[in-house]
Amino acid sequence: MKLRRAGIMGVGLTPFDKYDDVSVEVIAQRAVVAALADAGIALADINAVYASHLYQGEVFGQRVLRGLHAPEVQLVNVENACAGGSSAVRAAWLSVGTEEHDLCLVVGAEKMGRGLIAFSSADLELTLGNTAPAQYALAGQRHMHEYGTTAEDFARVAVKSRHHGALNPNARFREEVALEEVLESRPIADPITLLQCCRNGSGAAALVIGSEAWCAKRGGPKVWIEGSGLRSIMGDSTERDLTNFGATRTASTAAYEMAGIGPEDIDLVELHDAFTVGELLHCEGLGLCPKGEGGRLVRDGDTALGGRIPVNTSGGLISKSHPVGATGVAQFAELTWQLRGEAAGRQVEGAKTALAHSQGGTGLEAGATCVTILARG
Amino acid sequence: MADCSLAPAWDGVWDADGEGAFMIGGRCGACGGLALGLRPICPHCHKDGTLTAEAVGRRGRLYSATVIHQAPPGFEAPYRVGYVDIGEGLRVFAHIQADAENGVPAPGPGDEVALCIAAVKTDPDGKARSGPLYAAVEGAAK
Repeated sequence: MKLRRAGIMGVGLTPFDKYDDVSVEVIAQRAVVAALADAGIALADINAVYASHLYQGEVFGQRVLRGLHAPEVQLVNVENACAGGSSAVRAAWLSVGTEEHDLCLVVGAEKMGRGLIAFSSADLELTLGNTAPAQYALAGQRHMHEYGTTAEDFARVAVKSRHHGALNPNARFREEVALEEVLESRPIADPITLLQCCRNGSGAAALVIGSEAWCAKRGGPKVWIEGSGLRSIMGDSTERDLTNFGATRTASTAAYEMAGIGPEDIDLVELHDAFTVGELLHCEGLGLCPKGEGGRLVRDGDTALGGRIPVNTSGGLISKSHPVGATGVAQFAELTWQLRGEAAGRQVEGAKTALAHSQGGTGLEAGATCVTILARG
Repeated sequence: MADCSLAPAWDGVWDADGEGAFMIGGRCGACGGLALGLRPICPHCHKDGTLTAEAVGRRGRLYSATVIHQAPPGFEAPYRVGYVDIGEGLRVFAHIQADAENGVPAPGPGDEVALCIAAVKTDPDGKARSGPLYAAVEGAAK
C-alpha cells in the first residue's frame, strides 16, 4: 500500500520519576501541552488521538483530554504491554499515511508502584515463579552457552547506558556506574543484577504526527516516519531460539523493507533495554551486528556515543526508568531531538536516520515488538 | 521422587504414575499433534474436544536455566528455573535442580534431565503447592 508521507511535528515529555503527589492525568496533560507547543498547534486542530497505557483503567485517553477542553475527536486507547506506546505511534502514523486524518496526537503515560511487575493475567510460567527479569536471564544464559558471551558483556550495557544518562538532563538516574559496581549489585536473576534492570517509573510522552502540509507549517528540520513493523510472538510451549528475543527480527525486517534501507544506514537507535540482556539480543535482532556478536559490540564501544552506532543516547530504560505506556512514545521524543540536532550534551553529530524499537509481553515471550524508522528531511 | 500429596500449583499439566512423574501432553485424535496440557482446542488443527491425555516429558534436555534471587510472592529465593525440551517440539518451563546432589552436579544447558514433582510455592493461606522440577540424570551422557 502506498502511504503519503507523515512526520513528527511536535514532541513533549514529562520526565520519568515518582510523582507521588500528581495524578496520571496531569502527568499526561503536561506532555500533551508540551507537544502541542512544540508543534505550534492548538488541541482544536487535532483530528484523532491514540493513547497508550497499561494499568491506568478505563477510557484513559479521554480522562487525560477532558481536562484540556478537547473537541470531539476519534480516540483509541492502545494496550500492547510495554510495546503499547510504539504501537500507538504506529497507529497514528498509519492514520495520517492512509489519509484518514491529517493531524494526530499520541500520548503515552503510566503511574507505577515499586517492585516486580505483577501481571494481571498470570499464565502457567508466572504461576510457577517465572519473572520478567528471569525471562531475559534465560535468554542470556542460552546466549552465554551458545556464543561464549559473558556476564561482564551484559553488565557493560549498563555502564554504557548510565554514561549516556549522565549526559541527558531528562534522564532519572544521572550518575555514572563502574563495571564492578554493576556486577556486584544485588543479584536479581543470574546473570542479571539490580543495576542491569530498569526501574518502574511514572511519566508521560506525547507526539503530534501530521501530514506533509501540516509539517511544512513548522519551521526547522523535519522528521519523517519512513517505515514500521509490528510483529507478535505467541510462544505457547514450542521450541524456538530464545536468543532471537521477541519478534525483533521479523518486525525490523518489515520496517527496513518499508523504508527501503538496511541496518547499515541507521545512525542511532533507541531500543527496549528493560534489562541489559535485552539490549544485546535486540542489537543482534536489528542487524546491528551478526548473531552472537552482541558482546563484542558493547566491548568495542560501538554502541556508545561516538561509536559506530550509538544505542540509547537517552540513557535508555536503564537510566530513565520504565513507565510502561510512556516508554515507547518517549523513544520518539529522544530520536526527534537527535534528528533535529537539539539533543544538547548527547547529540549524535549529523544524525540523519534513526530507529526506535520497543517490546512487551509476558511468559514465554507472548508479546509484541514494534520497530519504526525515522529520517531527517 | 513424585510427591503427589500436595495440590498442584496449576491443574492438568503434570501428574505421576508407577513409573514416576510426567507432564500431561494433549494428543489430538484428529491430527495426531501434541500440545502441553489438555485443552479444549488443538493448537495444530484447531478441532475442538479432540485432545486426550498422554504421559510425556519424563526426561528431557535442559535448554537454559537461571537462578532467581528476587522472588514474587509465594516463592522463596534463591531458586532455579528453566526451559526443558521434552521432544516432539515441546519446551516446558519448570524448576531446575540448583545444587549438586549426591555427587551429581546441577544440570547445565544441553544436559539430560529427569522430571520429579516437588513443593515449589506457598499459597497465601500457607499451603504448599507442587510443581514440575527437572534434576540431573546420574551418569547421563552429556
